[in-house]
Amino acid sequence: MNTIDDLRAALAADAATVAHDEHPARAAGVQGRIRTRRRRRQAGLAAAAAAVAAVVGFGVLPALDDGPAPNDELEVAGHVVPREVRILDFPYRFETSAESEPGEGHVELDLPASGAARAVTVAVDDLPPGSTAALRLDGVLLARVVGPSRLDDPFPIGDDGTLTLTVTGGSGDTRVGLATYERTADLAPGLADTSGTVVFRDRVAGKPRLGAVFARPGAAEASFTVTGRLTDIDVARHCDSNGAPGVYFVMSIDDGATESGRCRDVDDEDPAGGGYVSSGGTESGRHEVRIWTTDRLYGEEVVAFPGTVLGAAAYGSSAGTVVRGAEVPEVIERDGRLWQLEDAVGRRHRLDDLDGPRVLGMVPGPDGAWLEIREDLGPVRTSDGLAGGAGAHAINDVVWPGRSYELSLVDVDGDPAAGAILVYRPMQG
Amino acid sequence: MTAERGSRVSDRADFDEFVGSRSQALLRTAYLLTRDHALAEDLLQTALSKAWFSWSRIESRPEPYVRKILVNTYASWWRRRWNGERPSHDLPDSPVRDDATATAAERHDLAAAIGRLPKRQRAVVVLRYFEDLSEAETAATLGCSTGTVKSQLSKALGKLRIDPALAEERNEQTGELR
Repeated sequence: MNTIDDLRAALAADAATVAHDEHPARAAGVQGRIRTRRRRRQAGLAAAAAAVAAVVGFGVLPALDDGPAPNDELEVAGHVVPREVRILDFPYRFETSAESEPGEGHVELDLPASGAARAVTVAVDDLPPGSTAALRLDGVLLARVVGPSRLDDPFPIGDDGTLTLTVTGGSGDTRVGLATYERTADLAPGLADTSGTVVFRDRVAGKPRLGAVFARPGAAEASFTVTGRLTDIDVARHCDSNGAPGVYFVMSIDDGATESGRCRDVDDEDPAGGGYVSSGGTESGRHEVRIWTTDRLYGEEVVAFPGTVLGAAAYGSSAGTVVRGAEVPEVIERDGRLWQLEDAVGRRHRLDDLDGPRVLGMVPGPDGAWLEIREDLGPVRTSDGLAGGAGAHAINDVVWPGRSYELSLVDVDGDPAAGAILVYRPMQG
Repeated sequence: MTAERGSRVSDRADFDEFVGSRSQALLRTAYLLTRDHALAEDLLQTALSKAWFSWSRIESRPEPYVRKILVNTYASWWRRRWNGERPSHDLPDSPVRDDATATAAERHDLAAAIGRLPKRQRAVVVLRYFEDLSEAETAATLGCSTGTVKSQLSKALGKLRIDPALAEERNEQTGELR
């Protein structure tokens, strides 16, 4: 059972279990389905039948149905939505959409598990000042949008659940809707492994890829060289054990082990998007980045594990902004978006009249801090605490328009703490 | 109007002939995708009914188009109906096999392992090694690039290599899927 011939034989043997005679009811069954589909088309409901999602009580725009996709434009709540979008350079294809009738103010969309990543975009039209449309997945707030008319950027969501979009304070003309997208099988531009399942993107958080490598199938190590000052280079790695137990990786730069850990059976197509590390060195010149599999943490012996996918990449590390002695990034990736540092303020800050979401972070003082977020119409949130120290900073929380927020840094007792609050806004385009 | 009606009647005759002559072969593909006889019949009938609405455009060479609908419908139906499908982690004890039954049992194991592949990888394997489509034809059927076909195939073969049911057999043999 070891060759492609065996595979062909197994498929043929399995297919041979299908009866040789045509199912007696097949022709009638096909004609019955044709009649049903024709009725649906005539009723203008063909798309509803084909859509993956079941929509409760609201109109559904055409989803991809049988045959080639038409080229006509898709419209949701008065906005033309694209059939294809890219999120951090990964392609997504339109899946389905739903919109409310004018003044209705509520849309619900049930997304069955698909096995593929999904994204959603929200469209609002004629949303009066002070009104909001809140998007939730299984009751958890994903986004809040303000008007008067906006097509929000798409962002990734889980692969199943019930999406609800609810208007607060709308008018009789207000229309809202949403469109969902599903990841295609293609990857973002970059260096992909030979099986095409994982990629080191060309750019991550605005940083260019300087070098990358994937081990050849069957090989247990790989390396590449990169030129520059180590302080300006971040490295990322990928090790997918494909289910094999006891597989570890070690990544080194110039003979110094930078990182080691257990390889897992992961389905991470974007390893650099999950973060990267720096070597801690400062040397300039030509550097060798090497990664190998082994059988223990920081093991020096190269051990091969068939089926393991192994790779590493280096990205340029542009200088950040120095805030209270810590270098914080100017650009970050979060929730499928790029965000740019908008403000680095003191230990207290107020956000009013936001035009879009913001990501919040902090640089704690020497004694550490928590970021407390008081929402005018909601609960008080407190982020995870962060101990103070050289270069320490954290970027954790998202806030949405349609509310005012009082931000402050506090200590473990809730008393004022030293530090600086960071505010990031979505980058345009 | 008369000519149009006549054309429609002719289309229907051609379509019925296609269903009669080719649907059993397509059913085998549907079965390899679904590994369930009833669902395979359901999938086939749905694909054929969808194809009817494009028949006038595809009647000169309908089979690739119908196969494309079949595979793509399988993918979307998997999401809607069959997502309860779960591979079995509790593999049955291996029976003691005599030579006469060993080959059949091994093929069954391999077929079952194919059934545990993700749907897209399973579709690529079926199209390449059962339908004998080229990489380009497989890509056209799935609506993706040939590079994606190669990568999905590579990933599928990689998963088959480490499938527990097949690994047990390889303990007694040498070599691997190439």
